[in-house]
Amino acid sequence: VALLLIAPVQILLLTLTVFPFLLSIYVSLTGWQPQFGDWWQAEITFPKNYIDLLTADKRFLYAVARTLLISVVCLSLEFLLGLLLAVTLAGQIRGRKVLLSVLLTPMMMMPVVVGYTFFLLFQRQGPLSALFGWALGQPGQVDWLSTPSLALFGIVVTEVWHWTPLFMLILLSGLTSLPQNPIRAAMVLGASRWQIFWHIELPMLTPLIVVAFVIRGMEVIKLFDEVYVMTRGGPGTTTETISTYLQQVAFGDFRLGYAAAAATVVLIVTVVVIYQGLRPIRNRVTTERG
Amino acid sequence: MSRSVSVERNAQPLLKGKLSRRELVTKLGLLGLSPAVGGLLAASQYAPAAATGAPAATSAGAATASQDTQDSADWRAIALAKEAAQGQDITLTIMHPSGAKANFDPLASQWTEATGIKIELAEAELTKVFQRAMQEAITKTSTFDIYIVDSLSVPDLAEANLIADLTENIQTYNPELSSGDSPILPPMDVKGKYKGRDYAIPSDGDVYQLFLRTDLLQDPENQADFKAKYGMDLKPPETFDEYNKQMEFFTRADGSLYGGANFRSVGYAHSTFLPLLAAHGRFLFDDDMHPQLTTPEGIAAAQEMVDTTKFQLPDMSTFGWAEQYSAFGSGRAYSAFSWPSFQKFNSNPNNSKVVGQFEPFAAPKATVNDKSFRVTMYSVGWTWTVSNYSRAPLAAYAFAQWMTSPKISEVVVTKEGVFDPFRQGHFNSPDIVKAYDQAFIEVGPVNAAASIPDIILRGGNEYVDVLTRNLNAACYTGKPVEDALKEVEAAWEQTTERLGRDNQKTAWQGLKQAYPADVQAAMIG
Repeated sequence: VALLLIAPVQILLLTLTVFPFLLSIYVSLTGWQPQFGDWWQAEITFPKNYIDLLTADKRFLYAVARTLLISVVCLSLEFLLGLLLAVTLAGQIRGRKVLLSVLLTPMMMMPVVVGYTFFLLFQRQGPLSALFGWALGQPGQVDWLSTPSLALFGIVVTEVWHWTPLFMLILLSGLTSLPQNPIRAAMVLGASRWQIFWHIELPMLTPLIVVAFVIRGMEVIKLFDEVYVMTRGGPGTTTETISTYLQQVAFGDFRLGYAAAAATVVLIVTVVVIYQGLRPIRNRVTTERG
Repeated sequence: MSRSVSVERNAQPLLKGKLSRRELVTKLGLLGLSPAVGGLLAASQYAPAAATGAPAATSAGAATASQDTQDSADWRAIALAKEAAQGQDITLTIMHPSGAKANFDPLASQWTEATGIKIELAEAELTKVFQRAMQEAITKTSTFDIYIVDSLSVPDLAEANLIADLTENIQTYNPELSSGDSPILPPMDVKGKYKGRDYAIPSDGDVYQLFLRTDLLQDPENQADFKAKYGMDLKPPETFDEYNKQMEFFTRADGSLYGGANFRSVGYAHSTFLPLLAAHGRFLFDDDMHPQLTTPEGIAAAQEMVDTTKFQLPDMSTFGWAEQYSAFGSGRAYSAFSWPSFQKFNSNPNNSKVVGQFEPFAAPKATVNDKSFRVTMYSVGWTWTVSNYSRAPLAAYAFAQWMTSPKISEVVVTKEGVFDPFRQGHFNSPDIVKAYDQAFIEVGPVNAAASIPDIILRGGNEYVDVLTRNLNAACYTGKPVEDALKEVEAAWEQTTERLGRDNQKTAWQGLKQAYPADVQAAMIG
């Protein structure tokens, strides 16, 4: 009876999740483009798509490498800044509530809005150029988005500005809910603020830090809107990420079989990375259960 | 067909204004309109015109309504629609690019009054129209009856079986693409063709005009300085070399003014490159669909683009059309190749600081093999297509024909929207002179006659993406021109092989015919 009762929901969920996934896998084995007919008529070309992707498609491989680079840099900066802000806000400071609300605002903005805002900020004659000019004491006109390294920098800055509040929020919630007894005990024993933070608070925050990294990691690997709006992956392909590449292949070129194969490769890589990333939590849970 | 003839015959006395009210109602009944609809029409100020297919919604429509209207494209469209709609409650859903909504006002309601067929508009973001349409090709819903798409997308949508082959309809109902008093300016009239068949009705004169700042051009000091520096007069450029010199001249070291606001960005850079390639005497492909980019002419064209990048507004590396329009309006550029709507935008004081200080001019000339020709770009070019999955394909076709007909399109293009003048008659219309500018009326047809098409082939978006990314890289990252073009050629060869070389060859042969005759004649190969 129990099985019968849950069956409709299970079937619905399977239909909504498993079927599209399997279809995507199947399509990735074909050379399907809608211009050639329907997907079920497409010729199976396996393993051509996968071999092309991993051996011949430099644009894809560069996009993967670039996305990983952006992810590592962004996650590191967001973590450090988020932690700094969280520690600051966890203390007794004036205007804490207002400051918290202000600092959370970027996270509430739509990525496309953030992208367009920074697109305007990073114009050659935009405010950031003016600010640099003022700081350096000479009229500054920096080609932010036309210079490959600066364009990548611009994207990282945008992404960090947008998502640091998420780290801050998660870490702040962790800091404010830490058990106080170990901290008080350390204080009584004469530990400095830094020692308490480094040896007590930070280790206790580890599971939350891992969760924050995993959540943001899964997001940043899908980075699309800001790049699309600010540079469209340019100059050339120098800021192209996995998502902008996939968008072009899937919805610009409509090479859906190939795009499905690329998406599958990315999925596998992501799952492996996230699985490894979650290892500390798994180990801890296993230890606690054991 | 016979039904159409009888409809025309019944409508004739009505057109001549010889009917009593009783006769009018009777005739309207024969035309497939109920007395109630007839009464509605009679009550409407547009009624006689609408009933005859010659809407008098505007001065343009009224001015051109005449006794021979029954033999016009709009009249035939109305007659066809009534025939298609008989006894049915039809609503046509149209997917249109964002910004086009105003173009339907008040025409859609007039159409409904005249035919009983309702119109529903569904907007797709301007740059996502192709994507949305292709998704429909996959899902095969009958959600949309008409897709208004850019000409670049037509081959893919045709191959995906989303849009109908309109050749028979065009032959039967004659939308006056290349005939009548106000044909579409050639070679724009063939921009809806793919592999010799008509899949779309062109409805947009998206030809690049050369906009120049006349205040700078006519300034005596500038003229003297220019003459001293280059030994030639500062005047509207007759050649690309002259134009390049002018861009160089007006580029200020302090960044306060740049010579040009011409496209270099991903998705747009090809519209600068393709005319340059033609100006150097090369088609994009040879007859076997092998790219000709790494020919000496191809390399020279790309090198010219790279060399003149320093005269462009620096942000052209990422700018699309909206940013280009605004940047020129800010007064930071001397010139820009752009669409006619650029004129409308920058003539509005709310948008522009250079109102009255710029004009469109004819594109420069190139000389190849002693043959001289002007060349500019026809890019985007919204066209009307009918869905293969439409529940009312004839009615949908009729509406497309009506909206693009000489009389109705004259109203359409005066609106703030996405369509620009494309028929000969548009350039004689006082309303269009008012909406654009006298200079555009004079120069628009010259540039239209010099316009070369986008890469209107299956996979057009794919060809364009690879080309524009590499041009963008050559212009801004120091990538050597030859390497960039080699990369494009390699990618294009793969695309062509994947899409079928023979199929692409056939399409390319058709597309070459959309090049102006003098450009075709001058090409080296």
